[in-house]
Amino acid sequence: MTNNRSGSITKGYCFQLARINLTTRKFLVESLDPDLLATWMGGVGLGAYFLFKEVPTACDPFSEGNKVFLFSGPLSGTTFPGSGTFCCVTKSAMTRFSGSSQANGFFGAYLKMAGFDGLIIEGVSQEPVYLVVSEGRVDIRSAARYWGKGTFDTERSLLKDHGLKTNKASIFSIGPAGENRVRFAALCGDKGHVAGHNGVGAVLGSKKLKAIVAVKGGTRFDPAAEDQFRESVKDVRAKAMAYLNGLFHTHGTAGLVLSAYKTGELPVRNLQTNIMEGVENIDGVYFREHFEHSPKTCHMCPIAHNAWIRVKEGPYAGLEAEEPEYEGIANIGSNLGIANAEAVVYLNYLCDDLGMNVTEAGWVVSWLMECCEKKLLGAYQDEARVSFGNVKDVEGILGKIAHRTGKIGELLAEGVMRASQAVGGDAELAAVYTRKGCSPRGHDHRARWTELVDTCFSNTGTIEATMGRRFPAQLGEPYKDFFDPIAVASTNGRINGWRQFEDAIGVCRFCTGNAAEGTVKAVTALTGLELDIPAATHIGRRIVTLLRVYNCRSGLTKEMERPSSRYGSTPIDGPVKGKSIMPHWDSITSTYYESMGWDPETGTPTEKTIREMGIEGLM
Amino acid sequence: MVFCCKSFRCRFTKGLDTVKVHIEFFGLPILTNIVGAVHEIEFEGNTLKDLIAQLTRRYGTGVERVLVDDEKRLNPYILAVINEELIVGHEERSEVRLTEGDRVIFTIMAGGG
Repeated sequence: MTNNRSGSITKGYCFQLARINLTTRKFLVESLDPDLLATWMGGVGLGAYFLFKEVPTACDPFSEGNKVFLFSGPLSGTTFPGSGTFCCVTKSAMTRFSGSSQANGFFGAYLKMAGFDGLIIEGVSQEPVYLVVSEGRVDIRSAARYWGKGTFDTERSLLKDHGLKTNKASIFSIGPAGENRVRFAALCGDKGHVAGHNGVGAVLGSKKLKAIVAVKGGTRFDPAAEDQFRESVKDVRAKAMAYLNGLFHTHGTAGLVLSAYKTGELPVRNLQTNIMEGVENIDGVYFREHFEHSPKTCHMCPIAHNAWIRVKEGPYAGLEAEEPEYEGIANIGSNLGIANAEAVVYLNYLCDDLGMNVTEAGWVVSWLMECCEKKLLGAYQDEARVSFGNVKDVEGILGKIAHRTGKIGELLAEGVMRASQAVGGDAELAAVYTRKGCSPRGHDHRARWTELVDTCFSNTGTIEATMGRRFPAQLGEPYKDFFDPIAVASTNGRINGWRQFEDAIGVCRFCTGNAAEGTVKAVTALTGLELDIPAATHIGRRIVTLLRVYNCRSGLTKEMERPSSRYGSTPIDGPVKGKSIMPHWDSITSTYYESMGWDPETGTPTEKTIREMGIEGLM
Repeated sequence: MVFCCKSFRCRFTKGLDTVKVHIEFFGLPILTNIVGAVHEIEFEGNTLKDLIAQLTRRYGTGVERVLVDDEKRLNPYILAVINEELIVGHEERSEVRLTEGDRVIFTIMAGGG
């Protein structure tokens, strides 16, 4: 991998962050050196750098020593499509290793327009507070009147109380789940966008930080090379509309449900089967035909894949909510045996309002359902009666989890790995998770080995190297065979870095998915730092390597980089019946470690790799 | 020629001159609009590649642009499922043999969200 970069960063940033200490209730403005930005870009890159420097590896995620790093990226707040994305990095409440999660919408853009490339949140408040970021200042205010509210109500209330319109501020908050330190609590905002993975909501809840309001300011970012930037934006915009042949524009990510089902990737009933009746009733075609919907877009996004919908009939008539994304439909729909669109809309809304990661919530509840059915819960058997397909059961148990109500609420709030280990026996064998401590996205990865491998080895608790099986052509040949273990492991290793670069520049991957070259040209034209795709991927790989060192020092072992028994099981029916990954796991591990430049026994980056990434000075 | 079964392993042997199959598209609204979501089609030849060639002849190059790459292999970002079995192997997939009455699904490979 090369490092073809020249030039230096002169534009495209605020060149400062705000460091907010919740213990002292003070904030400081700190400058960001252009060389630092050229090395780490922004987003997950800056988050990784500061996590490595400032959060001790022995630190408990809920202790005062943990910090939350929220960063936009250089493209945030520009005319680049989908440039409202921001990234949260912290010590994960789920894995106790590094955690990184992104959310789209407007926050990344408005934070920059308010004068900051990022926020570092440290310390612990004595009482619930929220932040207002506006015109180069951060105000810390009492959140007493909002504590206890769901995220949608919190957002509405803050907009009203501050006299703000929705297009003038971006508000992200935690819900009751975060307040109660549910390990998979999320940060939710902009009417349904979620930084869902790794329990960032729980960490913020432990600091009693309820919400952050970013008020759109007047800061603008003139490119270093304006004409080239404009051309790149035009090119990326056209390609974004053509992404996936326009599927997301016409049917949202919900349009993937039937595709996933037909290829064995839709999770059904806790991965006990791949066959389900009625899946067509929760596909994007059904949603767009049966609900009133209006487009809901992110900053500068031409795709507008989201929709705001209104339920007209049934027990949830009158509910107005975001059309569920594919993963919400999968994990709180088919995974729970529910094929009713109205119910799926409601349950996704509920999950977001309570402030929980919908995928971990889904795996926890589907595990509980199977355990109830098969009477595997031991001492907890009388604590819950939850059945596949029963919407009321799901509604009730989600509430118990968010509020840690009763023994069962306390158990499930710890996430599916800890819950299943606490019960033990056959219950543990039924749970879907990686042995690092978190569960996968809303897919049956037994039909998508690229992501199963990626999720198990990732630093971030979710996918890191891949997204589906697509990557820029400049990074080499496509996967030869999605079920060849060596091809999967070596290709994942070869391409790892590009996706983390995307997460470092403040943009939505749906907009860059078809347009890697245009994206890199836009970064170059905006900032003055000359990059090509290999150089951009090298920056991303540097981020991966730094987080890897951090995690190894935090106690990560090779044995943790495996799927749970159920997650790695062999499908018994469906399009990939019989495809078994676990016989190949040792060769997958050794191939991946080698391709990443990690020690074959420990998985630690070698000294050579650390030097190649240019991070020996941080060690 | 006689075949022992319709499984993936038996699909590379040459046989019939024309074949009629049932095709469906999922997650491919462009093709659904051009061809229709569900379709019976008869074509000359007996491979997936031959089927795509027929679709192109009948419905235009818009179909080809979505389904195949520059080397006329099935586009790496398109998945094919034949009789409920996912067909894998990027280079070999286009040569998969089809037999009378097969159900062929073309769908998009995507990341989710």
